[in-house]
Amino acid sequence: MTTPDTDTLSPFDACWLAEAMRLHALDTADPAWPASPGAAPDAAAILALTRTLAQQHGYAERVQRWHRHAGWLLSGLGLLAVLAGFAAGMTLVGGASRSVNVLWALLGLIGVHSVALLFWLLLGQAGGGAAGRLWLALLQRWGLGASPLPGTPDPLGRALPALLARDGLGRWWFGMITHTLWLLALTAALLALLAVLSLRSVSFTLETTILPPTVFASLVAGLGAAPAWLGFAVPTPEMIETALSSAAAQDVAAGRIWASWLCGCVLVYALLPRVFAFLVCQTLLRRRRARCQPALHLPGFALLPGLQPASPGIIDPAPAPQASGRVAPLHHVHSRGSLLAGLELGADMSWPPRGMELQGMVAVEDLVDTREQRRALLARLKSAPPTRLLLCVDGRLSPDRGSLRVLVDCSFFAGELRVLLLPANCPPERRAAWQQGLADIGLGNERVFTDAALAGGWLNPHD
Amino acid sequence: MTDTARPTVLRIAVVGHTNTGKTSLLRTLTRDSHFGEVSARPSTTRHVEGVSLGIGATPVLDLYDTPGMEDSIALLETLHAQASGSGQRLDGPARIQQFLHSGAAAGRFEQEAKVLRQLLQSDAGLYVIDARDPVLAKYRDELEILASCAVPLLPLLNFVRDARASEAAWREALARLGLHVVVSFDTVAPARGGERALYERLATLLDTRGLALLRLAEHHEQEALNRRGAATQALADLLIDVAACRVKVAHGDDAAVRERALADLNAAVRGREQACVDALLALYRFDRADLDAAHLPLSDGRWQEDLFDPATLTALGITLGSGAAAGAAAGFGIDLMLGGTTLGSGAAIGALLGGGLPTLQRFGRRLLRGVGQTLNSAVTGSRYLRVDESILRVLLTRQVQLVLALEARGHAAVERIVLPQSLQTDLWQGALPAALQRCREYPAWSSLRGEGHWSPARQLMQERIAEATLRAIARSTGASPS
Repeated sequence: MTTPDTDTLSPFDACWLAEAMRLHALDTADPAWPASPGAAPDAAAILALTRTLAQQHGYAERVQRWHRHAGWLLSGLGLLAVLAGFAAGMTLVGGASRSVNVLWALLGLIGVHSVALLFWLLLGQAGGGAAGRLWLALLQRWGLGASPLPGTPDPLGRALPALLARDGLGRWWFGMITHTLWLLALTAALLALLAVLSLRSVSFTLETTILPPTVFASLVAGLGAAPAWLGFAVPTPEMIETALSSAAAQDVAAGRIWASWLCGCVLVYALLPRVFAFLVCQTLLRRRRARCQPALHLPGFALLPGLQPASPGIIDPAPAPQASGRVAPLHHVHSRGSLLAGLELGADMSWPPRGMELQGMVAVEDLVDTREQRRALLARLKSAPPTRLLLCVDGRLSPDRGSLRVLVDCSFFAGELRVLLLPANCPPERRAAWQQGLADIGLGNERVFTDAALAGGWLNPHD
Repeated sequence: MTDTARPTVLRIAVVGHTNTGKTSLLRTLTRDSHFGEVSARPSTTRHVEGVSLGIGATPVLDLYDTPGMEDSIALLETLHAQASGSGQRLDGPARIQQFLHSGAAAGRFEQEAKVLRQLLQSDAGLYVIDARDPVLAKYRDELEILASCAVPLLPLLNFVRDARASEAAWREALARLGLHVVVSFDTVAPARGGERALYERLATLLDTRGLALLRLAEHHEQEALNRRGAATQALADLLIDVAACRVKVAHGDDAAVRERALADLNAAVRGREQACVDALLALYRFDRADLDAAHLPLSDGRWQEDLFDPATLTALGITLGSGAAAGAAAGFGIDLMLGGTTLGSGAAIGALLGGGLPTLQRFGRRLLRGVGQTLNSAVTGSRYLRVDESILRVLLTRQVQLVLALEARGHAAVERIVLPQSLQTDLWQGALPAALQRCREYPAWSSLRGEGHWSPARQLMQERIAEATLRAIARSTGASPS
């Protein structure tokens, strides 16, 4: 129809929309919505946000539609109740026969109602208010219109029972609907009764097969006691006797008194309790609906866009790729011999490496870790550059620019530099990272050993 | 920008050697598996990126991911050279500032300069350590450089549960550098309560400003509880959908028709289970795309096994229900009792004696329904297929396994979720929860084959089943989610 005026949303509708948007967020988990651990801001912020989002996704309009349908449906059911009540009243006192069994008529008018009211009182949350439940079930089926999320249960349809159950609204709401319909039916029945009694001459009788007459006397007097406070007449024992004897004719005054008693009973035992129950339900429902709050602790609200703190994002972009230089090409050096050195090896590894057979011409440098040790290694290489230099690195660590630069620096003071990755069983992704890093500084795979025996063989002089 | 615009927000720089798990830590703390880029390669992160953690939309903490330190030995040498070259006696921060204004900070050490610049602007630094690495000189130099920024540093030992981890050696080395408050935190599989421990340690370094961190930790714990509550709601929803579902098979139908009905129901239940998996993944902020790439969970291995295969049940330690034992189709009770209402006289008496009014009411409904269906069945000669109790147990067990795995999983984890091959726990020892039994009487509540009927009564049962499940999980694991 028109754009829903969300400024005048009732607290209940606002909560309903909030709950629906929460379910919507959980159902879609839209990756475009930024994920962040923030949640549960204050209720006003959630309601304001869900209101806007609900409008965007068409939920707000569907809630309006639901209310329209709810009204129509209630009017339809109310019309049925009026017709049924009127028909019942007409049938019970206005049938073809001019004589009416007064207790039978009373039972027909208030019997079902009393049982239903008793059930409503006793069952409460679990099953009372059947008419209200029917009303809601019909609305769930036809009142909501198409969901924006086909294929998944409609968030709006799921949100309503959740809300009704959570805040205990259901009992009072269904009760109010049920009582409304009963009130309409009973009023119609009472009007039918009055119409018949106004326009037709009815003689009231009492009939029995097994009961003694004294039962009727106490029953009529007992039932009439409460209406009598409101000014309704109570038939005298003589009138009861007359009504019991089918032969005697009823005078007009007695008929009036019976009519007054019957109407008084319907009013006091049917209409007034319903009016009272209706008012209780209406008051409680109104109060609770006005107090409705979104259940902020439930997850899903955090998925809504706009409910997370804004993150600073990238505040300092990545620099241009930084090289560690490249190793020196193979070159001739004056001194002879080979050198074995270990760079930043873990203490758990044996040194020199296990499985490496070394001959006398191979010098073994201590493990290199600190700045001073790095300097010492470079000084030794400068003073006596070896033909072959094998540097062992810990393949379980991550290669970094610093370590790679040590390799580059050393390569300038050796005929050929090769690298051994230790231990043999280092994690494959780390080994791959080393091989990539070494390739970047010019040490291709042919110059990187992963086997200590092979590396030892290369290191031993063989000319 | 951040300094002036958000003065009350704590700023924490996450620093460390390259490839120690800085970005992973941020992913786990923010519960965002899309933050930054994570790989086994070193130097994956080379920029500085901030992310906010808050209570609601109010930011409490800005965490900054920084590039790895790679060349600390040379950098420290440079710092020393600059300090002695200047001829002045400079304190730590002044020396760092001097370096940041020098040419080296824009050249060879540009990456390290970004780290130092960020740390100087932060209230504290989290120094992430791969505890599997030996305590090398380069790490000590790194710490010396970072310490000279005069910003409180909290060393964080990652991967301490690895066999190679040398936690004691690290703690000793850190103590020698004057860093006595250390926290262990596994970014991939954080220990229960690990996040709180981290924030508490961090708070001790920040004096009164640290109180905000404690509030944040509390908030996150509450959220974890809420998530578990919502997960059990999703589970209860699944169980109601499956338990209430009922498929009519006409009496005259031949075996092929019945087989087809079985297959349809099978597919519907599995589709519904996948939907629940998706809902749980969304709830815990994991990606279905990630899971698919890692062959998870329904398309691989045990999960793909036929839900109605007796082997699946035995693997989960669930004994077959009567319907399945009867044989024709494992897992399905072909309900010969006309619509599933078994009205033995014992049940009637039990209801009358034991339950009081609610039971009577339910019993009355059951009686009415039973009568209605008896008539219906007598007229049309139809039977009903419904999902056996043991399948409900399988569904529950699998989803609970998934929930527990998701709760224990850090958002940095890239490996697939490995659920125990056989969880020998039947969460519901004995009978199904009464609420779930009751749902079996309401086929309209199932959204498995159609819209489903969302009534307050269904909602009430869902809450009760969720509560029962929550208690069962707590009983079997003895654990709260955080």
